[in-house]
Amino acid sequence: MRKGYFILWIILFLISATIAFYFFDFVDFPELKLVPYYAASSFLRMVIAYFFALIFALGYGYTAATNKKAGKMMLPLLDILQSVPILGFFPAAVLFFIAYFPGRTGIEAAAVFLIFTSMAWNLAFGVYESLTSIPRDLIEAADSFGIHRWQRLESLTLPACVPKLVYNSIISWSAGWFFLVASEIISAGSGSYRLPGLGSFFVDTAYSGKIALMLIGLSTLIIIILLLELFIWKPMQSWADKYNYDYSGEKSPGEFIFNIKIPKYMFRLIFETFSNILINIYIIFHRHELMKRFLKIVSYLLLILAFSYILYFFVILLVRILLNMPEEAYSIPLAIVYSFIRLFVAYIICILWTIPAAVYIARNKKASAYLMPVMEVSASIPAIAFFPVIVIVFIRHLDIASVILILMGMQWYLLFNLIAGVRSIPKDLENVAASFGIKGFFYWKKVLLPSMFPSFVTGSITAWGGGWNTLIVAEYIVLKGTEHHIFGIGYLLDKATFSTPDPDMVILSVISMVITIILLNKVIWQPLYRKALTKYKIEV
Amino acid sequence: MIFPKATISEIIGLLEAVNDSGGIEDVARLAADFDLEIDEILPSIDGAELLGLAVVREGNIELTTDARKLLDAGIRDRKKIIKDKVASVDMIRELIDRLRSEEEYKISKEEALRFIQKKISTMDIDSYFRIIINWTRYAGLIGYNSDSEEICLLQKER
Amino acid sequence: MLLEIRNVSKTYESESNKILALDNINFTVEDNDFICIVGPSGCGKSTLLRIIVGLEKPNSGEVFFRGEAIEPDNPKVAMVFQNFAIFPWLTVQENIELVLESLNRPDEKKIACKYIRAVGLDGFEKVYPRELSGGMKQRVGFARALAVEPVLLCMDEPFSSLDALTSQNLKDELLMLWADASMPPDAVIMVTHNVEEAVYMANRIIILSPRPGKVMADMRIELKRPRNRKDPEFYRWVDKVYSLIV
Repeated sequence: MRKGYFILWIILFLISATIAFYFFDFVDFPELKLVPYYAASSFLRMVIAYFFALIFALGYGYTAATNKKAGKMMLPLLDILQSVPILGFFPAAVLFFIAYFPGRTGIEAAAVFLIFTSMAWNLAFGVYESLTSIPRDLIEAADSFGIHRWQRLESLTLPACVPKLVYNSIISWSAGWFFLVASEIISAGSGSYRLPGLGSFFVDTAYSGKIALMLIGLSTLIIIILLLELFIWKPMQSWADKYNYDYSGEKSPGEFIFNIKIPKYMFRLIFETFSNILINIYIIFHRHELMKRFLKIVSYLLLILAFSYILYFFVILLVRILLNMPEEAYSIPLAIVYSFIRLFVAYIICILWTIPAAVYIARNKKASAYLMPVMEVSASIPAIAFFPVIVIVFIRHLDIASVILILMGMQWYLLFNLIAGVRSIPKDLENVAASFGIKGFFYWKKVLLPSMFPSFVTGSITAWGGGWNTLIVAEYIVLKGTEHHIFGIGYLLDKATFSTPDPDMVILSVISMVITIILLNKVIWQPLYRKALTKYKIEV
Repeated sequence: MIFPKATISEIIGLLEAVNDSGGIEDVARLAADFDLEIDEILPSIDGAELLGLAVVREGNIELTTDARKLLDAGIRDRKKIIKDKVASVDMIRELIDRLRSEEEYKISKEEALRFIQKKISTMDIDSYFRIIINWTRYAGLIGYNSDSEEICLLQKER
Repeated sequence: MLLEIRNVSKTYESESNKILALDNINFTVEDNDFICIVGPSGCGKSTLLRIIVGLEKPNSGEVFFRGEAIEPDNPKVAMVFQNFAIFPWLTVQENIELVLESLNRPDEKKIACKYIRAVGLDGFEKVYPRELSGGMKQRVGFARALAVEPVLLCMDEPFSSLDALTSQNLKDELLMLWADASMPPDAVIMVTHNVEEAVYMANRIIILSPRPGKVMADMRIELKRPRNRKDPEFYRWVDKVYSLIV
């Protein structure tokens, strides 16, 4: 049996079961009829957010790439934005958008904004890197050939643009799913604002005990994600890989479950049009000195405007808040400590199981042939979708529930990085161990664990990012109208948004959390990352 | 001054090859024997000359008596001869004097790079640094600690 | 008799076909043998070496070390690798102590020190591999292999990732160690694709045929040491080996 085929059977079973439920009314739940509508709403949010993210990314990436001075400010900003737990902004976004668009529109806008933020930074980096990697002499060549000769560039500049954008779009989408479901779950849990969608469907059905219905919703989500993966991302990626020339560090996509042969010209068409527009805009702006200057002035003005607005907004806000500190603000440090302990416990559990599992899976060919597809599928499902189930099981022990939830938000990053790490250990180092009789505890300590260190660090950084996000949904839950919570920064944020709205507290909590995360990055992860790059890097 | 980008191993390897040819060999033929371009073998020849182990005359490289002594010696004694030779290279002697004048016989890599930059004007200062450390470490004169990014004297007498 | 290779064959199986890599290899290794296994690339000479040290199992046939079936972690057999295979997170000294610790040798520090000096690496003890030149890295490989004081030293193309001059230097130093009776090992098996290198180093050459690898010739090199590559006698031996390969 070819690897992964049984996964296909599971998917087929889920699809047919779902279709059967829809059309043959096996179960007579009126809610079921709404599932297609919910699925469509969720998907639409993703598409809209992706559209905006793409536009933003092109603008931001372009400006950062072409305007050196602006780039110096824009890139570090992007770096900070990337390391910030996006979900922390959701409450703030809800309050902000509701103030401008009351009712459903506001909450929809907040959700789209949240998904947008999860997609945009990484895409903007992609555009920036693509544009800066177009060699300078190509642009000059374009100048000397005249614009009508852009066809000549096509074969050369395509490789620069395509792979990064495809690759980053995939990452953006999988991040987007997580935040889509998260925003729907949070809003459904809040009681006051509702977003119709699969996420809120999970919450409603799970909390009212209709587990069968919830599973149907869940499989609908899985099917959508898998169909996208199979019919769009994987073929697109294998197509884009042909244009790849400097991705040595990136993991090659390989075979997912199986490869669907989508006519490649489809992507070619889309991307050629897309990148031609991109390249032409770029070249036009570079050809005409006047245009260049004009653009420079415009982008400066825009930047100055944006920065001064943000500065003005923040300074006023901060001064106001600091002059009139809410009573609760003093509990923020303690809340961060509590949340940190939860994250830490989840992280330790994560380490304890993923390291042996990664070694086993990477070493055992049979196991990896069967387990990898299962895990890829489970990892592609936003962990947060299981949230309502865990909540109803553990509602009396929310401490345990929160740790389990955080664990689910963390573990895959670590596991997949570690598996890749074990696989990349050179055969020769293994041979040294075997031929000199280095084994057992000694082998783990001196050979295996050190060689996994770089992938452990990168995995940990992303895992903690995932953990901070999950925190926001894990500490505050409204189940059947009753509020359940455990003390922590996520609780403070949610409470200040939903139960006793208090914008000042929301802003203070978000800022404290962001500062904590940036500090942790600077003090712990960056030094470790440097060490991984120097001391533990295996030269091949 | 110019400083050759050749490791001690390459230089000794070159001497061994010349020795096989009876102690004198045409540079072009030597390069051809090793499948090297002339400019690939030149650094090693320059290195051998700088260390006083060979002289180049009219396109021929010839071993000095010290080189013969080195080749007849075992691994341990080779190291001693190399030590004397490396210590007599002007720039390295100055670097050692500089280190001796320091409190703990060590300076930062930054400072060492500045020192080297003054002697050899080059863009590629890092690879010269690596070569110099390759020489001095093999000779047991100067070591480099990559954790603290410092170079220090290996024998601590003044 | 130190080592006996008896009827060793090896096949590789891919999805559709079987490839015979080694076909019924037989030879014995005695004390003081410096054997070079020579053959074109793809003749399975590295595979043979890996079978000899026990890293791979043959499909049929056996390898006996002093009359007993070989085990990969046999401390009497040590290995030197083409790409050095030293651990980047350990210093030179730690790399060597590592193998001694795993064998539970007493005074590992002293032994490590002895072999670090023997290959001329003193002064490099606390250095991480990333700061070493290729020649120094392979010296660590030699020191590590010698430190377990093996009876048989196996080397898989140990000079082929070094530049020409460095490899010249390392070959001579290795022969110096070999000439030193107080130093291990008692016998060496080295795999190489370079005939001149084999004639320079070995006192016995085993020639493997192209796939499937078979022993085509097993000859003694009667050249006195130290050898000189410019010596006409040396050339005659090189020609002789070449004539057997072509």
